[in-house]
Amino acid sequence: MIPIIKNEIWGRRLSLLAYCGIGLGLLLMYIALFPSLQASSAQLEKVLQAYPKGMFDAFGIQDLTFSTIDKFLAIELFTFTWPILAIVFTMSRAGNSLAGEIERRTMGIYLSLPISRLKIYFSKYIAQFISVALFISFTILIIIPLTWLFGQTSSIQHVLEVAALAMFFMSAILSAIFCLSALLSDRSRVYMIAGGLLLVMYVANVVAALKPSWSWLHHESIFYYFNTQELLSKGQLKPESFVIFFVASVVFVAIGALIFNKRDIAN
Amino acid sequence: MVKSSMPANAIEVTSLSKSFGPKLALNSVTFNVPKSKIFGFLGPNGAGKTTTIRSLMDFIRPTAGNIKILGHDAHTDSAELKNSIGYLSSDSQLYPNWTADDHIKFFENLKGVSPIRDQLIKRFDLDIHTRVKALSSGNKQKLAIILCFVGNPELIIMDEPTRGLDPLLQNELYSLLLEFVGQNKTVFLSSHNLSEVERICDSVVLIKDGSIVEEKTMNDIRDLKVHVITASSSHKINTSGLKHLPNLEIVSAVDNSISLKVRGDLNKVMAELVKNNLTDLSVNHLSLEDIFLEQYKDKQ
Repeated sequence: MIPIIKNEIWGRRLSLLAYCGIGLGLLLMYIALFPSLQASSAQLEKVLQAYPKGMFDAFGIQDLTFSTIDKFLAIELFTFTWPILAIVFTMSRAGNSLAGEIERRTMGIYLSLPISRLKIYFSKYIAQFISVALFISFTILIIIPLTWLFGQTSSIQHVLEVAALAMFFMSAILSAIFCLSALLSDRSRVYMIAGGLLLVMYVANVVAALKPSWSWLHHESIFYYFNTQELLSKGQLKPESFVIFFVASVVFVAIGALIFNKRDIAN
Repeated sequence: MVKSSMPANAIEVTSLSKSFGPKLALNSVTFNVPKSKIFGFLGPNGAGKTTTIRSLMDFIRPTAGNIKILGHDAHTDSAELKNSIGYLSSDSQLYPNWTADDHIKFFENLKGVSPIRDQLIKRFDLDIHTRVKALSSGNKQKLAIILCFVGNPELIIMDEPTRGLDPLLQNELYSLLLEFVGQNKTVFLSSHNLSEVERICDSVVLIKDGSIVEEKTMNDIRDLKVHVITASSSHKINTSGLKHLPNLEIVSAVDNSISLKVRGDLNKVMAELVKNNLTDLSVNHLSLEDIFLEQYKDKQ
């Protein structure tokens, strides 16, 4: 398994570096901006309060203050920008890993070697899991040294908890897209279906936040359980989020393995 | 490495069928590949050669039937078997950003080092430090052939191996395969090129529309070959001597030119033709598709 894992990570190192670089760049920008925004936070909060409440509900923004860097990052980075980047990164990794190899007809290289399909599948999954962990290290865990470098103070515990939640969140998405990638033979269909489903879940979460009578829709959306706002602003951690992400990861990874082990690979 | 209990056949395919939805790609295909031979798997494009090979390699799973390779089940023992199989696909791609050396090392990590690695690289004159994306299609094919021999395979399965190779390299590959078989090993080779099969194979099976049409000896294969001869002369060509020859069909005789189809031996036809004062002569092979069309049109 080791040669496959090594090749999977090394072969896609440039895209990994690019995504980590973009995430890191955004983070640096927000951390560098924070002191000036904090200095005028009173005026900003007045301006922001003029916006309709529904807008903040839609994005899950609960505590609209820039008093700490943690709250600022929770609002500015983790409500929208980081999840988008993380999802695009995960989709690209998972889609390329199986469906991409089948589409480019390089899967035949693996299948002609003395290694079982399950080992191929899990080697590639582990490689992408490691890539996700590296992405989280460069876009979340690095908050701790960066805020220190910029003379700010962030809660180490909260950052670690966000990183853990993000790891579980991204694992669930990785597993679901990996499952699709095991089923399909071209990346565009993987991206189309995964992107469509995630968009539907995102919209479901927004609708549930705006309409109390539709609040049940929250539970149909993976985004409801990725609530970094509560974590960074209030230090509240929902244990059920971890359970749901973990169960989803295990179920999708198992279904994907069964599909990949059984399917025809004609390319 | 699979420990073979020395079965008589390297490959045994029994009643292999494969459907893709409503389309029946293979229909109860049965054949045996004897050990230590070069076995030809001959058929026109779309006959089911690649589907059969992909079933042998466990890339696709049969709808029905059984495949044994070196005495082991091709599906349940697939991973273990591949230690003993070298495979060349007709259309698989290599990693464009890897060098040939990267590919060879990757294969060696999983299959073991080939005892003839350096010899093969030298023999095929392959630059192993250039990225695959910068290699010509012939050089990519050379690399794919070298990858077949990584480890110490007992059986080589090749799907249209000479595609993209120039005649010199084709000859090099033929002698490599003959040496390989000389070491008591087996080659299973698919082709739609009758001359190639005639030249190196010990026995042949013909497939058409997903069914085995016939198993042929090499003499049968020689008889299958159809030459298309076109000759021109300074005067009208005398066809009286030609008309009595067996396995000959005069396709057209217009003015001073004649076009003939000859099955099997050419010598008598050529002897008759040169009696005319020829100004031009061309001899071509009928494609396998056309031969099949002629040979089996009555059986359909």
